[in-house]
Amino acid sequence: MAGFADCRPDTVTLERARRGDMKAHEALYGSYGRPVYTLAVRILADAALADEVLQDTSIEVIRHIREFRGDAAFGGWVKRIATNKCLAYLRSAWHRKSQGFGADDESDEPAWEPADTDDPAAQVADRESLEQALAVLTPTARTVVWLYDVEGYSHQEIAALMGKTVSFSKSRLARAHEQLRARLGPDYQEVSTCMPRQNNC
Amino acid sequence: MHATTEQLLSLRDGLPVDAAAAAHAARCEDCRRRQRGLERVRDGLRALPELEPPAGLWSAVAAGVAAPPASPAPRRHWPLVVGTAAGFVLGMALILNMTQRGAEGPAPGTTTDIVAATPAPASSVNGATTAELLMASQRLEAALHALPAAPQMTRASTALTIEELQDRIFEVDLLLGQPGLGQADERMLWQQRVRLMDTLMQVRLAQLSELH
Repeated sequence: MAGFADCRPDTVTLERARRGDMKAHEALYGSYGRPVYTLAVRILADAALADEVLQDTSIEVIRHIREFRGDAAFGGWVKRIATNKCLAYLRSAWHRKSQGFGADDESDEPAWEPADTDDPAAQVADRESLEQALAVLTPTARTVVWLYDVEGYSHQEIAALMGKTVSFSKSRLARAHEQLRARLGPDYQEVSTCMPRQNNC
Repeated sequence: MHATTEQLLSLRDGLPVDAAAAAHAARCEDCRRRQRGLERVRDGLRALPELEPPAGLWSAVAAGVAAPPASPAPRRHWPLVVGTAAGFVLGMALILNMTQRGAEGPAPGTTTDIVAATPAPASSVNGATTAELLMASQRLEAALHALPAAPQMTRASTALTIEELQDRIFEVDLLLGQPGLGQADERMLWQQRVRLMDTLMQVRLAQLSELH
């Protein structure tokens, strides 16, 4: 996956964009559209909301491009905007009510079924199973695991973005991986039964 | 004790971990396999393909930028039946204005007509009465109707902005048509309508100036 790291427009395009040249902005959109959309779909698990995030992010990029300092990474700047847009959607009242984003109570997590190890299909570690496993995580777990494992945010950064503690970010990442392991089964994880227990090694 | 998932994730990512847990994980085959599993999931997530945004989204973005910043409400796509009803309201207003214009105004489509029909600037809208707003709205309606037809070659962003403004005017018209509307609400809606039509007039004039 190319991602935001590949959003490196040349200085001429950036300068034209700063002057309000919409052709230059269209070229910038061509470089960040896919990573922004991917980030939004992975976090929100909703294509329609991802459309909105991409639109909102693009409009913010266009309106604030003059404030972007050329010495920083353009892709990182756009990623930060897009991430905040996603989190804003997750924080919205209707979404919190329906999805339980940010809930501290572990009991808010939806029930999940361990992978059926007798079913060969459940053991196939392919892209689709990983996408499905990611999509059924809670919004909080999905956000943390994607921001940390894929987008490269630190626990400190995630805590600041979500208004939580570093411990929250770490525990939710661990929780997300435990849920993913249960979904994906031992073929993906190699071991499905090694849970914390008394040391008998 | 086996290492916890949180500890194994820290080991995976080179973060500080309790010495005893690290020592255990180094010699425990189960923990090492779990750690490799965490690496595989991370690598699998990173290897997921990028997703392609819907075609045409850039046009919506360009229209969003061109829209007046004073109207932050997201664009809504009205069902056909609602649009038809709103169009009927606007159509009736246009017909009424056409009838009136024939008797009192200069030749339609001329610069004199446009200037004469353009109401006071939007800054005066705040203190206007409902009757004044209604009159301003009617004059703008007539002025807009008198403008020459849109040029065949129009920027997509301009066309989308016009369409969006018209949608919003339809929306206001529908709200104005609701029964039991209070006086304050009615005045606020007429203010909105005049501002939207004022903006639409400016965009339409800009559209015509693109010809030159």
